[in-house]
Amino acid sequence: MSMHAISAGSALDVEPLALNVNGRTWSVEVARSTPLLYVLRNDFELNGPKYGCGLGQCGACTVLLDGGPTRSCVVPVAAALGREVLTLEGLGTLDALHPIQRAFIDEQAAQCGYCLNGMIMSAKALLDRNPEPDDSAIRQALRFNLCRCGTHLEIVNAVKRAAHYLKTEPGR
Amino acid sequence: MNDIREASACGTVTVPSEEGMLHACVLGEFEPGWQGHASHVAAEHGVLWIELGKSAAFVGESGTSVRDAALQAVRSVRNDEPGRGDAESTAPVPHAGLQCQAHYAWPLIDGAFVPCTALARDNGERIEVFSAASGDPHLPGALADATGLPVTRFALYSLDTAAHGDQDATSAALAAVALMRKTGRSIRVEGFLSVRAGGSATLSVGASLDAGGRLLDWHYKAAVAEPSRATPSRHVQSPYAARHSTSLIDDEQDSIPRAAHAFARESFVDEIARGNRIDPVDFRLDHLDTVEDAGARELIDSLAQRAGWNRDVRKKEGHSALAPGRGFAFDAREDALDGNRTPEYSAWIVDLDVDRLTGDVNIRRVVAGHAQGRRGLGAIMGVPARRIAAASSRLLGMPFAAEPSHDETAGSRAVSYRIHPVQALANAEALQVQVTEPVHVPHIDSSPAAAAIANALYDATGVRFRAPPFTPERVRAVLGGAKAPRDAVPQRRRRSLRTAFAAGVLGSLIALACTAWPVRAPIAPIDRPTSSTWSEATVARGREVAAFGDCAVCHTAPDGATNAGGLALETPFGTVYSTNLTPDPKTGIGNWSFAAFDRAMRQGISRDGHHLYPAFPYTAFTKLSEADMTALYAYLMSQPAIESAPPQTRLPFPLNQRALVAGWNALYLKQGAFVPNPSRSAQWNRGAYLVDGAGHCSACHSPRNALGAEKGASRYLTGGSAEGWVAPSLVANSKSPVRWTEDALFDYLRTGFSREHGVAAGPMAPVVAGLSTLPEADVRAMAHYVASLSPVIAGAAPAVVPKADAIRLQGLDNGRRIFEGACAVCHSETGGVGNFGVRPLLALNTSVSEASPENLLHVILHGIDAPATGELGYMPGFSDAFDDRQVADLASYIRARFAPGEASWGDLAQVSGKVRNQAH
Repeated sequence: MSMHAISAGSALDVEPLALNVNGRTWSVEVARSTPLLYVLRNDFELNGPKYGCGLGQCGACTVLLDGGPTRSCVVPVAAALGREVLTLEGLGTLDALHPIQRAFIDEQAAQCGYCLNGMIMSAKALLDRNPEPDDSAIRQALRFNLCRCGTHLEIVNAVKRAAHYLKTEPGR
Repeated sequence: MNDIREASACGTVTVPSEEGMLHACVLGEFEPGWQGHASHVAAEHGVLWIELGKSAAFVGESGTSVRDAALQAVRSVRNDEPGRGDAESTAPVPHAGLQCQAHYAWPLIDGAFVPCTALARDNGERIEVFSAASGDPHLPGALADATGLPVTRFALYSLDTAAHGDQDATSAALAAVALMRKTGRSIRVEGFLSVRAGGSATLSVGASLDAGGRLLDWHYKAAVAEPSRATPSRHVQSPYAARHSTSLIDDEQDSIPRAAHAFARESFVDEIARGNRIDPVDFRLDHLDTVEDAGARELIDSLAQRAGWNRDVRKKEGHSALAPGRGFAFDAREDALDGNRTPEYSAWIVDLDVDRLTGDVNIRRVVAGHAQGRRGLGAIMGVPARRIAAASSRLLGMPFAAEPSHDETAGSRAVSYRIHPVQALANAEALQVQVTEPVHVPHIDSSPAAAAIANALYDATGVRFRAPPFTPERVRAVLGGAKAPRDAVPQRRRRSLRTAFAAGVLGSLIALACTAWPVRAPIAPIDRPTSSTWSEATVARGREVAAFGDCAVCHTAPDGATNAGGLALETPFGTVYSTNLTPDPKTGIGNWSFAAFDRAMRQGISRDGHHLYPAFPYTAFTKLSEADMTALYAYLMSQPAIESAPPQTRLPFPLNQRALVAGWNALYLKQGAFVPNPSRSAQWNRGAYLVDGAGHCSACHSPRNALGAEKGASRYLTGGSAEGWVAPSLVANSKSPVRWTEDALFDYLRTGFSREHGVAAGPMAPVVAGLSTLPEADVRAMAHYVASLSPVIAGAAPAVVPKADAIRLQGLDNGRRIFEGACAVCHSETGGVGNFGVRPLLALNTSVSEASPENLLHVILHGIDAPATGELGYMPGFSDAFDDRQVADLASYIRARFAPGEASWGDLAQVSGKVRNQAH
């Protein structure tokens, strides 16, 4: 699949860019029009965000930009300049999982797991702005994240459980 | 104190309307002996005479009658005093040769009418006081003392009037409250008159020049009218270098203001410069040090450029009694006590007309600026409008209002003002003042005002006025004119009509002369001017003009250097390549003189005499003001020169016969700078100037005829096209589902997004990118003007977004599926999941309800990869994901669902194919 709209800028037009990703400053020399996803995966080796459709439709590449969910495959790296990027890696570690990640494991919400990055990041954005979402709010927030394995019910349960964890573990 | 601030922090209070208000004119230092006389005058004018301790006031139902009464009372009291008269000091003093000397007088208590509005109203709960003194920390205490009421009873609001921050403003506020309590009605204080003049100061200057016109000696003496025997107390420094200079100031009480010294010095410099046939501005520059006084020189240079000092644009008046004049004055201040302080400079250029018969002095324009620092000023501060109005009103003894010229940004940076007598405005309009929070306004000197007016009077009449004020009575007496009718206002109106008529005739003569010469002469090349030719302020102003005009948008090729040209512009007549605007002498405009540049911008004729194609919107740029054109030239000439020859434009025969453009110009080019409409507000005129001039909005948003000329009149801004996009209508016939309001236009122009209309894309994106960097007040003015073109329909309900018709959506399942998969994540009716950037609702989006589908197809196929501002976000293009049939299905569905009131689009697949192949 080609990246027509985003690869429009000249490839030679490379300049050093400083990005704030997961609270750290990273430097990279790429064209400003390079998709943010490519920089995160190829240059920073942050492989939490996945390459799915490349057209902003499936949501597997979701990261948070200044707290808002963003399809990183259709946003050029220039859009992230001066903003805070949060990827799945910025949530928790293997030793100390983020409550949302723990909730997804506890609910066994993954089949193949390819969509989970988008599900978790979108859930994070949802819970940040609405700590006690009801079923319909969760369905609405995750409506445009596509999952082909069919663990939708487990995913909804995981978000509810995550809300519960976040509420009962105020330290997080 | 605190709750007063709170009360005044509310910005939405409406100024009480004039209805039901009493008007008052306050007289200061009233003496009991005048009571009988004053009551008599009051009865004559049908107004009340109210005493308030030391002062008193005339109070009545109309503003004019109380002012007339006050003026009459004060005049008759003054005439009773013996020994008054200034014929001596205003009589021309002949001087000859290099030795010269002159005496000036300065009235120590200004006897003129000071317009200083203050309003007082009791709303039952609080006493509301609107005045220019609300920032005065003593005012609440003074009000409480004067009335015996607690401080908390008062609510203070700031009124932006002529007398901001002055003692006069505080007196006016106190008087308004006192009169309100005496009369039991709301009060509007119109102004303040001082009854007694307190003598005057005598100022004498002498100088000698060498044969080259440079100052050798400079002697200055100033004294209050009755000199004391004390030793001279102060030294007043002249900013101009002289080999030998002395000054003697006999002023123990320190009662001579700075303005008086400036008046004498600047009048005298004007006298000797003119006496020696040296330009008065050049004379001053010759006597200011190039290093030490670099800041002062830059200020003077900038203002002279701004006012077009050297360009004699004065038109011959058919009406011989009306004499135009122009005067300059400058003042420098530096605290001698502390050598480290930054010097401050101010300068004024005044244009006025003198009516020789009536003695009326009508100031037309003031260009005034203020700056700090020895060198490298960067930007010049303007002088606030109220200062200019207050100084003009005091010096001429009648109320004037000042508003920024149409080519100025309002606010602290404006330097050029249009001045008009306050009576010319309807009273209601004069009341529409800005209510603001009390703020501290730095005191900006208007000390050069008196000399600038006096010098302009000399320029107009050849008579030197050596003592202010320059009231009609005194001007008439000195000029020996006939007695004027009392009411001078209708005179002034007739006069301005006549001027406008004369200008119109002249304009059409120029237009005739143009069509008489089809072949244009080249203008001789010049060496590229050095960038130090212009002040930084002028270059900075030029940068803004260039941004308004979006020069770089057309004159920069993709990946090319800014303004080096070479962008291919697709026109219905063929491809036109933009030219190199950098100051490279070979391939750019480096050897273009200002005259050549000005001709190209206003007439579309290149320096070598060949006609430029009207793809270059000189039909709009011809409206630029002289000052903006100069600044633009200065800016372009001070940019780096880039040698780059853009491709030649080759149109097919007969369009390659450029001389034909002369005929096109004769038909469609309306030359002449923008003429403000005096019946509209300053903001409206500023907006119209930007939209029709530099902004050249109509180049895209007006339809064009078969010859590529914009259709005007009723088709003005009714929608056109640009680079394959539809440029929507900006007026009432707009297809937009929700009416464009001023606020929506402002948001759109400033940020590229309006919640009710959508996002700026395509050729509009770089326009917004430019506007987002320009002064907010200017963008607001453009929105104000454009909004004014669509009349508000009274009682019209806000548009209801119609619901999609289920029947119409039948058979569009393909389109619906594509929409749900590709678009709904951002554009669903619920606003999607809140992705980064703005997500316009398609039901309100102009491109969905337009008559033709190009704009929607452009965005679907090519996305938005270069948003106008960083906040807007990006949209991917789908040209590689969907074929033309799928795009057509999608667009049909979007149209049927989100613009159910509009007819379906035809031939969508075909148009999609066309748009797909277009450069975007």
